[in-house]
Amino acid sequence: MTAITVAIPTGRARTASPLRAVLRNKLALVAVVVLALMLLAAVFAPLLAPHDPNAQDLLVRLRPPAWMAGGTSEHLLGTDQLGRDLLSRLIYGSRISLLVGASAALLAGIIGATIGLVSGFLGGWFDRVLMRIADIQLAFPSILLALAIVGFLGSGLWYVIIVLGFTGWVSYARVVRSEVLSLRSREFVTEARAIGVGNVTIMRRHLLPNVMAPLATIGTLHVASAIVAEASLSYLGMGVPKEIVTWGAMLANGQLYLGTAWWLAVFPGVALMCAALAVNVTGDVLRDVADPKAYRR
Amino acid sequence: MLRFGTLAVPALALPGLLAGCAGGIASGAAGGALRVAQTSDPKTLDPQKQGDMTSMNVLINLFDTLTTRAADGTLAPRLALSWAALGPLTWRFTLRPGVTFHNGEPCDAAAVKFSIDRLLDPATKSPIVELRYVKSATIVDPLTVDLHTSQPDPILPAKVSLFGGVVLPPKYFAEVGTAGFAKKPVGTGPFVFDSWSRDHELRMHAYAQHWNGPPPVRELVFLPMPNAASSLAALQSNEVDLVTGLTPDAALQLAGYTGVTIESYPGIRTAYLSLDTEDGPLRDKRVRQALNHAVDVPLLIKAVLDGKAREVPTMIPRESFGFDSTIQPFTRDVELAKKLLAEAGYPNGFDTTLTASTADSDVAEAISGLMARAGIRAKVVVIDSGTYSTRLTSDNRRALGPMYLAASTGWTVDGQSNVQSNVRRDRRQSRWTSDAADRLIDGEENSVSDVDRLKAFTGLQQLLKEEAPFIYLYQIDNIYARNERPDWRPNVVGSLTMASARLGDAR
Amino acid sequence: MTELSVGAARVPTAASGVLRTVVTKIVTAIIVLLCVATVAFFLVRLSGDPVKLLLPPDATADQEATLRASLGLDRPLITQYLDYLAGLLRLDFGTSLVYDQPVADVLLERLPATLQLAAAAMVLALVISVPAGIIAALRRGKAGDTGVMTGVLIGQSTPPFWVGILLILVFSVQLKVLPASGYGTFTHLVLPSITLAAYSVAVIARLLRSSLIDVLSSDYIRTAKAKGLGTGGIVLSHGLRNASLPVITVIGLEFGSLLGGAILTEQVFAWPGSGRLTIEAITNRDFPMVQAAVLFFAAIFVVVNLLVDISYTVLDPRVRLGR
Repeated sequence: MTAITVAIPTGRARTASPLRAVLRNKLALVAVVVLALMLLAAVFAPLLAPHDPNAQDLLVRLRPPAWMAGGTSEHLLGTDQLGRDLLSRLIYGSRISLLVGASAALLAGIIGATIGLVSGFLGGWFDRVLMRIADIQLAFPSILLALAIVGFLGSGLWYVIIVLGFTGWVSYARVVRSEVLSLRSREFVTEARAIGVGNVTIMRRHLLPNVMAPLATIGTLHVASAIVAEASLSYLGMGVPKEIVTWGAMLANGQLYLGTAWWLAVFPGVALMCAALAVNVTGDVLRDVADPKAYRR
Repeated sequence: MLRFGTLAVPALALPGLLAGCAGGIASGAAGGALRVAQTSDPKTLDPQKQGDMTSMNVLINLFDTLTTRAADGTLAPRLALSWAALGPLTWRFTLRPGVTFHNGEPCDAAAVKFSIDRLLDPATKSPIVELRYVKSATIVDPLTVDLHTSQPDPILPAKVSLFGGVVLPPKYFAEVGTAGFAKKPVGTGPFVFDSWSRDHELRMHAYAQHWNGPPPVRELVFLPMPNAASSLAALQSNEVDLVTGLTPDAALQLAGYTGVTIESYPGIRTAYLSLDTEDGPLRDKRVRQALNHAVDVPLLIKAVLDGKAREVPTMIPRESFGFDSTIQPFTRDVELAKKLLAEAGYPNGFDTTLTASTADSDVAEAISGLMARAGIRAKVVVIDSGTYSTRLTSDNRRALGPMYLAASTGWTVDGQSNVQSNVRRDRRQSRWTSDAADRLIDGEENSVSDVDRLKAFTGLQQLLKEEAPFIYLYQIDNIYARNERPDWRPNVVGSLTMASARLGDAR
Repeated sequence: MTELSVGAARVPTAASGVLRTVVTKIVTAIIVLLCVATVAFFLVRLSGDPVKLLLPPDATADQEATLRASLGLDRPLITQYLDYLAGLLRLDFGTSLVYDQPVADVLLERLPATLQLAAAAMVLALVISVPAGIIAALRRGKAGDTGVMTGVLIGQSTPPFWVGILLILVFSVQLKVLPASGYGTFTHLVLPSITLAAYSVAVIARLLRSSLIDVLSSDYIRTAKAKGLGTGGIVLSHGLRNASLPVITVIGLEFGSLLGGAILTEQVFAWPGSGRLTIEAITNRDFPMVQAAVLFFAAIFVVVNLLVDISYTVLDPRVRLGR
C-alpha cells in the first residue's frame, strides 16, 4: 500500500490504551449498522413505512407515541396535528437527508479535488489566490450564502445541493493540495514530467488515485455536516419544497406544538442526531483505517 | 496574558449589554398600560368605513354606540337611555344627557342625526349593511331622536349596539374633514386616540370625562400578532397582556408554557361553508346534502378544534333569537352520503376546490379529508387573510371559488344577522335562488311580532336543512391567552370592550 | 501545526513591513466586500424580474411601468449598478417593502439584540470549551480526554437549533422556569445563548486541545519538565501563552459560525435580532432588505476577520505562512 501521509494537521495522540481501541470498535460497529439501517430505510421507504407520510387522519390527531397513555399501536411514534404518522414521515424524511448529504459531499468533493489538484500541482500565484479564497470561504457562514441564494432565487432541492456543495469544497481542496505538494517532488511524477506527459494526465493518472483515501474521509465528515445544514435550511422553511417530507421541516412544525405534543419535535431531532453521529463515527473509523498513525484534529 | 485579554473584553461587555436590556425594550412596558393583540390591524379608524370585527374591536373603545350588549347577553343602554317603537316604521331613542366628545363637543340628537345621515350617504360608501332599512333620522329635541325605516325593522335597537350605532362629532368633522378624521378620530368612548403606527401599535389613553367615569386601565394599546408563535414570544417578553381572536389550534400552540393562561368562553360566531348552488355538481341538492352528511362536525370539533366549539344544525347559534332547538343537525353518515351522490349521478364523487384563509387552513384540510371519505376530492386553496376578506366583501360572488369557509359573527344576537348577507338572492354573498327562502327572510326581517318572526325562522331553518345551500359547521368559543396581569371577561359577542378591564398589578 | 492559515502574510521585517501587510489586508477586505455587493446586485436580477416579484399577480401593465420607472429599473444595467454602489457608499440601502422605512434603520435597530446574543454565546462557549480543552489535553488518552472528545463528537453531530428546542421543552414547558421566546430580561438570554454557544464549544475545545498537545510535546516544554517544573506551572506559563494565538484566530473564525448560528437561534427563540429580520425578509420577499442583510452580515464578518487578522500579525511577527 502506498504510504499515504494524510497531512491533516494538528497533533493528536495515537490510541493509547487497549480499552479505547475496543470502545472505538464497538462504537464504530454500532455506527455502521445504524448508517446501513438508515440507508435501507431511505431506499425501501415505501415498503417500510406503515402509512403514507402525507395521509391525514383526524381521528388520531396529535396522538402520543404508542407506549404512552392515549397512544395507539397504529402509530408507533404518534401523529402530528393533521393526523399524519410520525414514524412514516421519519422514514421518508431520511431520503432527503441522505440524498442531500451524499450529493452535496460528492459535488464538493469533485470541486475541491479539482481545485486542490490544480492548485497544488501548478502552484504559483494561482495557488496563492485559490488558497486565499479558500480561507475566506472556510469561515464564512454557509448558511448565509444558502439563505442569500434561496432569498434571491427561491428554494428547491437542486439549489440546496448546489449551495452546500459549493460551500464545502475547501476542506477537500486543502487536503488534496497538501497531498499533492508532497507527491509533486516524487520520482514517478518528475519522471513523467521529464518524458513529457501532459499535466492533466499526470494529475488524473498519478495523483488522483493517491488522494482518494483522504478524500473519502473528508467526504464522510462533510456528509454529516451537510445533513445538519439541510435540516437547518428546511427548519427555516428555505429548503426543499414543503410538500416533500424533511426532518428539518418536521422540527419546525413540531416546535409549534411543543407544549402539547413534544414527540413531534423530539423524534426528528433524534433521527438527525443519529444520522450525523453515525456518519461522523464512520468517518473517524475510515480515517483510522487509512492510517492508524495519522495525525488528526 | 493574551488569553486573559481575549476573555476580558467580551466578559466586561456582557454586564453592560445586559444592564442595557433589563430596562425593558417593549413599547408597552410602561405601568398601567393594557396591551391587547388581534391577528391583524384595523382597516381604518373611520367607524363608518369598516365592516369587520377586527376594526370594530378597536373602535368600540374610542366610540360609544347607542345601545350595547351587556355581559349577561341582554341589550343595555349606552348613549341611548331608552328606546321604543312609535309605529312599524319609527324607533324613538332617548339620549343620555351630559355626554361629551373627546374634543369637548356635546353629544346630542344633532350628533346622532349627523352620524346616521353620513352612514346613509352614498358618498360615504359605507360597507356596514345592518342599517339598510333606515331612511332618515329626525331631531325631536336635543336629547331625543327618531329613526325612520323604509320597512319594519324589529331589531333596530340591537343593530345599533355596534358598527352603524356609532355616534360621530359633527363639529369636529366640519373642522377636519373625512381624511383628517381617519387620521385622528374623536368619539365619546372610554378611551382617547393617541397614535397609530400601522402594523406596529395603536395607542389610546383613558378619557377622564367619560360619562361612565374613567376606565380603570390608564392606557390601551392594540397590537397586530399574525400567528401563535409571535404571540407567545410577545407574551413572554412582556410586550402583550391579552391575545385575542385565537383559533383552537393557535391556543394549542400557546398551551403549556410558563406565564401563559388560556381561557375560553362560549361564543356565537358561526362557521359554515358557502356553496355555489349554480356550479356543476353543487346544483343538485342531493349532492349538497351528501356533503353535509359526509362532514362529520362533532369529529371535526373534537379532533381539530380541541373541543372548543359547538355543533350548529343550520346557520343560527343557540344564543341568538330565532334558534329552533327542534331542528337537528345532519346525521353523519358516509354511506348515506355516497348513496346520495350516486343518486345524483356522481357514483365516483367529483373534484372541486375549497378556499380558506391562512388562519383556517387546518380546518379546511380536515374538512377536505372528511369529504374525501365520500369521494369528493376538494383541493384546498389557502389565501392570506387580507386578500380573503377583500374578495369576500367584493361584488364578485364567485371570487372565492365554488366552496369557501366563512363565519358570521352575528353580533346582534339575532338570527337575522346570521342570514342577512347570504340567503336572500339579492344579498352580496348569496349564491342561492329560492322563492321560499326569500319569503321567509322577508318574514323575519319585516315583522315586528316576535311570534311571527320565530315562525319565519323555524320555516327558514327547516328549508335550509332540506335544501342545504351551505355546509353547516359549528359555533366557536371565544378563546384568549393572557399573562397574569389583565382581569377581563368578554360578552357573548366577544367584542373587545376594554372599559371594564382591570390590571392586576401595579407595574 | 494548526490548520489555520491566516492568509499569505509576508514575514514583516520592520514596522513598515507590518504596516504594508495591514494595508494589504484592508485592501483585500474591501475587494471582498465589493465582490459580495456585486454578486448580491446580480442575484436579485437573476431571480426574475424584480418588478414582477414586487407586484401582486393581477397588476396591470401600467402599474408595472410606473413601478419600474420609480425603482429606476428601466435604465441601463450599468447605470443601475453604479447607482447602487454609490448608494452603498452613502449607506443608503433602499427602503424596505414591508416596513416602509429605510432598510439601514431597521437593520441597525435590530443589531444590538444580535450582538448581545453573540457576545453572551461567545463568553459561554469560552467558559466551557477552554477548561474542557485543557482537561482533554492534560489527561490525554485517559478518561477525561475520552469524555471531552465524546462530547465534542456528539456536539458536532447535533443540530444546535434542536438543542435549543430541547432546552425549551425542558426548561420552559416541563420545569416552567425560563421563557420559551422573547426578549428583554436576563432570563430571556439564558436559553438562546446556551444554544448559540453550542455551535462553537465543540470546535474551540477540540482546537485548544490539539494546540496544547502540540505545544506540550514540543522540546522546550520537555526540557522544562526535565528541569522539574510542575505541570500546572508549565501549562500556565508556557503552554497557554503559545496555544492562545491560534485560539484568537479561532475566535475570529468562529465568529462567522456564530453569525450563521445566530440566524437560526434567533428563529428558534423569536429573538428580535438582525438574523430573524433576514429570515422574515426572505419569507416576505422584501428584496431591498434581503440584499442589505446579506451585505450587512458579510461586512460584519469581513471586518471582524480583518481585525483578528491584523491583530494576529501585529501581535506575533513570527506568524507562519499559509500552507
